[in-house]
Amino acid sequence: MSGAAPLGAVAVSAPLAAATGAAGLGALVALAAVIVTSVWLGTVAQRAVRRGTFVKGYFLGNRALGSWAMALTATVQSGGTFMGYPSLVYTHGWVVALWISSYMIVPLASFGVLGKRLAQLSRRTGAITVPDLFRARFDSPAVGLTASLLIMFFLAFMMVAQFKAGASIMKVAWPGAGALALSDDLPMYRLDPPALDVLAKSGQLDAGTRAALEPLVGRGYANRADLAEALQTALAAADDSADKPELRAAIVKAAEQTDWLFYLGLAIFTVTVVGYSLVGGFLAAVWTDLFQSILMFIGVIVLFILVVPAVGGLEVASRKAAAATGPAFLSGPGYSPDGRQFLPLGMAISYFFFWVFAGVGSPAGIVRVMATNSTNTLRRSIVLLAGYNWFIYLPLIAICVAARAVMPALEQSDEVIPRMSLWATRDLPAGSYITGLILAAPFGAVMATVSSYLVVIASGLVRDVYQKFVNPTANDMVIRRLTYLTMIVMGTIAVVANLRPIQYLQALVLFSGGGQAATFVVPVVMLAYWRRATRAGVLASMLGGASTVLGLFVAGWLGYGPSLVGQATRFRPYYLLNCDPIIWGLAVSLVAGVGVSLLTAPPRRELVSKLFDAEPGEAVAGAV
Amino acid sequence: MAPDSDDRSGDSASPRGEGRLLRTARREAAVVFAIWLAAITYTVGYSYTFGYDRPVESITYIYGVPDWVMWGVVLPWAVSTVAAVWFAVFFMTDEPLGEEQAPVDDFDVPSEDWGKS
Repeated sequence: MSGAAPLGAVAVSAPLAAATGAAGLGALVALAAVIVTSVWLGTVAQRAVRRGTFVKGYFLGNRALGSWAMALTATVQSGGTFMGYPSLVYTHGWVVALWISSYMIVPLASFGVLGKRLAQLSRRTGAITVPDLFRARFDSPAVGLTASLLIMFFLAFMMVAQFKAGASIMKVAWPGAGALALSDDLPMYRLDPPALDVLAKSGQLDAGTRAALEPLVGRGYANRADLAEALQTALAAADDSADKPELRAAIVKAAEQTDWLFYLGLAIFTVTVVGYSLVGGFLAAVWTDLFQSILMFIGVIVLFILVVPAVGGLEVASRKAAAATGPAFLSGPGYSPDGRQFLPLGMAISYFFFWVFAGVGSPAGIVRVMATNSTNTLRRSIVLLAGYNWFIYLPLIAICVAARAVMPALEQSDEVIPRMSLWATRDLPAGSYITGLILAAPFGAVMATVSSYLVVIASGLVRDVYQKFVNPTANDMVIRRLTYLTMIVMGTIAVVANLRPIQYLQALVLFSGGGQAATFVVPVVMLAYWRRATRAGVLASMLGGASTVLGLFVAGWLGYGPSLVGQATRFRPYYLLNCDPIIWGLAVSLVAGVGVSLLTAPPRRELVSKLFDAEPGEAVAGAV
Repeated sequence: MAPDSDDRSGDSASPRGEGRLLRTARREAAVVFAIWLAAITYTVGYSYTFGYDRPVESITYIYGVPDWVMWGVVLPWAVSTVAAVWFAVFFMTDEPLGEEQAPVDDFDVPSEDWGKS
């Protein structure tokens, strides 16, 4: 951060400025440590995978997950959760406690509803992937293929977007790279003072015009058009001779944030994450995820202990924050500078569905309960995760409310956690490394998400498509090579897609999570517990849920629906009756699944009996 | 979609009956659903009734937390956490998960067996 901070934030930034350089170094050291540890975990995972056969070891860790790995990785955490949530508390206030509150049920829902039964079913059918389960339960390649394609659709979107998040974090961790924008939606255009200095020195920018641009400095713009519009307004207000197209083009170019540092970050991120995922498969993804969850836990607890006494207690912080914003910061539906309704009743209900059902229905999570080693592990996981959630989500609210009191006018609310950690550790001897650790945790979360999605998508392409439809007798070596090739190709696609960096990551997280839940929750419950469920019913359920969510997002994108509900973003769904699409998706999925099942002929008795009835003694119908 | 091949009506109950794991798992799933239903009813109901559009001067604080957040979110969260521990320790049963089998619908030679020999 240079001396000329954005006007609104001067009071905040000045005391921070001295610490920033050191924090940059601390952040870089912490990121390097996370990368090295992840690669190391990848190689350890590879040794563990080699103990079994390739497919089961690589895609399912030989069904040997213990409770720590299960509890702290199988739920809906991603870079988006840990970066987006603090930003929302900072922006909208205490009501975000209600927004996140369904995490109180997530431990029970994730492991207590389907875990036991799916672990049993996947053993009884020899299923390695979620589509394997569907195929075996309904004796239908079509159902398996549909499940596989839908999984790949929802995961691929989010995975590609996460590459941008990873690259952005690497970029800003570079010492002297500028603001602490850890944002997963780092704006692609921003006018920074050094860039303007360069323009001024080259003679393109005179002092008067520069002054006219001052209100724009430090603000982020999502795309070229937004910046160009702001420039035109600002320059038109100054004297008209300044409004030259070539000058505007030069300024836009100078404001472009996708410089070589972004591409360097993208390259390092891609090589690392594809590399260790490729080497260690499923277990590498799980272990790096566990590692980042523990980092995050330590970071949040340390920050909580430092921050709350330093601001004079939560009540003082709440009152100060409300004075800086408005009374709505303390109550529902939440404070918003533009008067939008962040959490009207329909949205409060929706989010009590969202986190719970997104946890239950996420295929990456389902695969993990399939990999459990025993029911005892599931029970211990419930306890561990219940404790973990209590100590993560509630303290984060306190930290971010305190942040609003200490730094009432952050330009980028996504920076709230790193800025608070800088503020809280400014007098501590190893302060910059604590900040580094807190910066590194979301980076680890992004890596873990990408890694687990890479494995799920590769298993979908290789096992569910290639092995089932192209070459059923492919041997281990062919499968292995094809898996590696798939991962490298996916990494390459993600890099190419990010040459023009992807926008709206935060909204994509909600789209992907809601879409997966609406597509898979009802079908998986039918699969596990309902004898009468039929092929046609489960297909109708999946397609009905997926198309409802997709349809509402397309409608919202086209501009329909209430615009002052929910988060401020352009990639937004149609909030029908103020409810999130997940509600409508789940409803359609349920009605279609039950209705179509009852209207079609019941499934074959032997098929259902084989999967629902007690096994006759020890007899195992091995195919060997 | 072609109907499945066997159209005998009704549920296909078997002489062997459903296994213990399935029966306990169904019951446990129902209990979790009930806990979720209670949690959403209380949490959203209380918070909406007492936490929305409150005049700022009427808000009191308990350990620094606005009263409606304490009773509407923190309290049910604590109760849910206790419920989760109760569920995991005292209610959910342990069952054997059964032997791993070769895929039922698959190829002539299941891929898993290639590495074993």
